[in-house]
Amino acid sequence: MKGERDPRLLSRIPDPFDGGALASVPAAPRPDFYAPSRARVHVVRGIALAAALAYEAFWLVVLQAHRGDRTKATIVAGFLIPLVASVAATFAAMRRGARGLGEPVAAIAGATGGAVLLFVTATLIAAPLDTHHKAFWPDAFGCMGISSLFVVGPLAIGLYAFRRAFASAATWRALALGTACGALATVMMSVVCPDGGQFHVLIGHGTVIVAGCAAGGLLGRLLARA
Amino acid sequence: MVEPTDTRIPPGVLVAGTTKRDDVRDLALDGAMDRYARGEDTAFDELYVRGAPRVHRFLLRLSGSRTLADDLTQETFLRVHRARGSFGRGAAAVPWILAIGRNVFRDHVRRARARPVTAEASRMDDDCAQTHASPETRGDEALAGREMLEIVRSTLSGLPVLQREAFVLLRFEGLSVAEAAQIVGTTEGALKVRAFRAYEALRKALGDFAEGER
Repeated sequence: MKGERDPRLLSRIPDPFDGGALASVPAAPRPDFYAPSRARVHVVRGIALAAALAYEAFWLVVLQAHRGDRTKATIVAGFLIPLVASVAATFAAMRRGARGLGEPVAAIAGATGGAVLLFVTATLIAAPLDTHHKAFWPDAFGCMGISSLFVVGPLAIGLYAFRRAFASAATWRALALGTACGALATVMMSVVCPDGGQFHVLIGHGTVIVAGCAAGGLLGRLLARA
Repeated sequence: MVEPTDTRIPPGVLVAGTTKRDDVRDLALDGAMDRYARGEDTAFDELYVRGAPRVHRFLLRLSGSRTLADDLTQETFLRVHRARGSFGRGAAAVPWILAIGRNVFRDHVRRARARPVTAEASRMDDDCAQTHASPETRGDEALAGREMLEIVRSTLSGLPVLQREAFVLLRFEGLSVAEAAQIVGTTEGALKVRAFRAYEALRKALGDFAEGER
């Protein structure tokens, strides 16, 4: 019942540390190591974003973009939806929130989960049916390998740019960052891969979103926490 | 239903019936933090003078040890220095610094996990206990008050860290559920559950004490 969890009830518990014990604080420490200012951090993040895009562009040049015809459905499923998912997850990770601690965990989880769900649903609805059934798994595994190449760079650069940046909910926010990098890799994958079949896109191109999400969460816990 | 009246406080013991709430928006502290984030190194002293008492109090209540709270407070401000560039323009400094203080405490707990919680509790400084009995209070009542506060202290230190931090933020730091949930990095519902599990444990411990007194 709601009344049983009224926070005012907590005030019935006396404070054992009230009064004199709280009076003194230790001497101030002397930070004698370099810490970048806000302006410097913004510059570093801008450079990191440019570096991540340059990394993706480099691999696009190496792997060469697919020049075949694209239907509206493959454009929506392969580019538009992952791009929207990437932007949504990026905003979830970066937004400062009302108190400067980022968005509430429920909002970050909702945006990140929603981005993945949007990609899966839209791909199932919009993408055409798969045609190369015999070579499905070899093709899918091949695309997974290439897409992991696309995600490694932005994720590493992102985690460097946001090291010790999140005072609160670091795991969740890094997880959103990883999801954004994974969705970006999915977009890149659709540029280089001619197969726009729905299950190929979901498994071959989309698995990297989940991988980015997991890697972001695990590494962010260690690296991104202030 | 919860019967808060179980936790009767003997007369003469200073009890905060309502939380002494420091405003989360401490404009002077926010200003000092903002200048520090912009790279003005001289703002650190003002930041420490204004922010350290609250951080120290928070860490003292979490750790139960003045010595440990001293060390963790200093470490918190070193981390504040390291992360200053990530402090958002116009953000509130108190929740941001408390969140870093909480991270420092959690890291300490992780490092010290080999030690049992009871060992940590036994290291609590004797001078931490608040035993402000009024002059007119009889010796027995003051003793009962001291015992009660000791029960709260020992029960609190024996609680799981997640429950302890939720309770401390809501009850002693006077934050709202939304503010505390953001500092801890969890949902409001989860934070409430943790805080009320702590409350139930404390209430039971104080109830047992009151039964023994009868």
